[in-house]
Amino acid sequence: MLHLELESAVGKVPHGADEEEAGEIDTFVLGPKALHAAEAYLLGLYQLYATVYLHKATRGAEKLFTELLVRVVEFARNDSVGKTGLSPNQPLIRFAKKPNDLKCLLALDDSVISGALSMMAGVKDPLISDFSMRLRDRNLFKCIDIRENLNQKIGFAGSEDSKICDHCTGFAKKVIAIRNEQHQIDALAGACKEVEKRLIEWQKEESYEIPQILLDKTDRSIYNPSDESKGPLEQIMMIPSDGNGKPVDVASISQVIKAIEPFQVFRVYFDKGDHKAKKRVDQIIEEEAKRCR
Amino acid sequence: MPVMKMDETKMKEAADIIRDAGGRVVGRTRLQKMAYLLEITGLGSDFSFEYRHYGPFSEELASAVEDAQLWDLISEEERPTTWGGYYSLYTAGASVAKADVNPARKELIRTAKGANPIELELAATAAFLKAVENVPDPWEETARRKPEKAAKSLANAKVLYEKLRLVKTPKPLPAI
Repeated sequence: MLHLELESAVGKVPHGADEEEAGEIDTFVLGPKALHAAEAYLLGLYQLYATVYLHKATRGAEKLFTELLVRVVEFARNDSVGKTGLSPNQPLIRFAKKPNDLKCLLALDDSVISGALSMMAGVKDPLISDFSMRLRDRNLFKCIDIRENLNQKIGFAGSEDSKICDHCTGFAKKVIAIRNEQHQIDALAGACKEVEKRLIEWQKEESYEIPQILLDKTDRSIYNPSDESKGPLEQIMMIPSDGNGKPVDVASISQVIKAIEPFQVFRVYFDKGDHKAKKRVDQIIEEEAKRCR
Repeated sequence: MPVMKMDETKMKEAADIIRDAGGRVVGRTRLQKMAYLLEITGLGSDFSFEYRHYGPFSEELASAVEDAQLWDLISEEERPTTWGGYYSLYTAGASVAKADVNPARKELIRTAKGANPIELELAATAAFLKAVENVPDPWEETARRKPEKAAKSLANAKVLYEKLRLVKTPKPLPAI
């Protein structure tokens, strides 16, 4: 990071809204010597997402906690604090009632949350009771990586005209390989979409007090996702050593960064003792994979 | 109700905005500001908005648009701009157009759809500053928060805002 700071400068980059350019704006850009430091930084960041922030156990706990928090907030706002097992003065309840009060937000920390879990365990509401106990005892839901499962099951043999043959030229081989790869990417995306729809539909048909499955779908590119228009202000801009001094996206001059594909997650979580849920999830994955083969 | 359950009403309402715009809307910023103008004029769908980098923004709407793509109510295609950024092209899925769309809603959407997105962003921002933050001079505050965009487009944004105010909406846009 220090190297990045030493090699940074202020440069002008274009900005705008949607298709319309608004002119140029001053922002921090990197100097040409910072290329390797920028690569190291982005690779490190990417690794953190794959191994920590989006790790299946981390996300599994977050999914349970999200469901738990939503239920607690619902009760708190419906004057049913008693059903949560927490006292009206507990920081979580105060935050639920006054989410825009900064003092209420600052009162929340790790110890407040972990202390609340034991108080919520054993209340009548099945979701609050079960999920708080699971979080307290580290008894998380089991995870199936739908995307990874589909990817393995779909494979791609290619149609007759997309197979690389012995007499193909080098260029033809490259074209066919690229086409096959794109076909596999599209097939995987389509299968993930169909599985997601079917799992949601299936959940609608079931009427459990605790959700049988929890879906987790997200992705992370090297740059932060943008709410609205996106452009150079959302990228890491660098002045290339052999350019005209105009900043460019670091991904356009680094083969390493260019090669980083977005890290995509599509998983389902369920109770490890729930064989019915596992069977249904496996069946849906299998059927959608078969449709693509 | 589990969190994974999508809000079908919101998804349909997000798709309705695009459908009422003739089935196509260019740009995330344009869609967000269009929805905000509908909301403060009483023609919206109860999407809640807060202030973000590009002015009024609704997380609910953004989620609804994303969820609606799963059910093919909306499709989003990302395209590169000439200035080095990217914009989204939204298309409404095949659904029967409503016959009874409020004429004021249609007119407001039509005006916003044809507007320059930067001018629309500035106009919606000024409206938000007046309606929500009760800022005494919303145009001055808009220029302070977005100096580069305002330098180029504030005068046109004011003209656009007056044009939008001419639409006979259930709740008039605040006078600025």
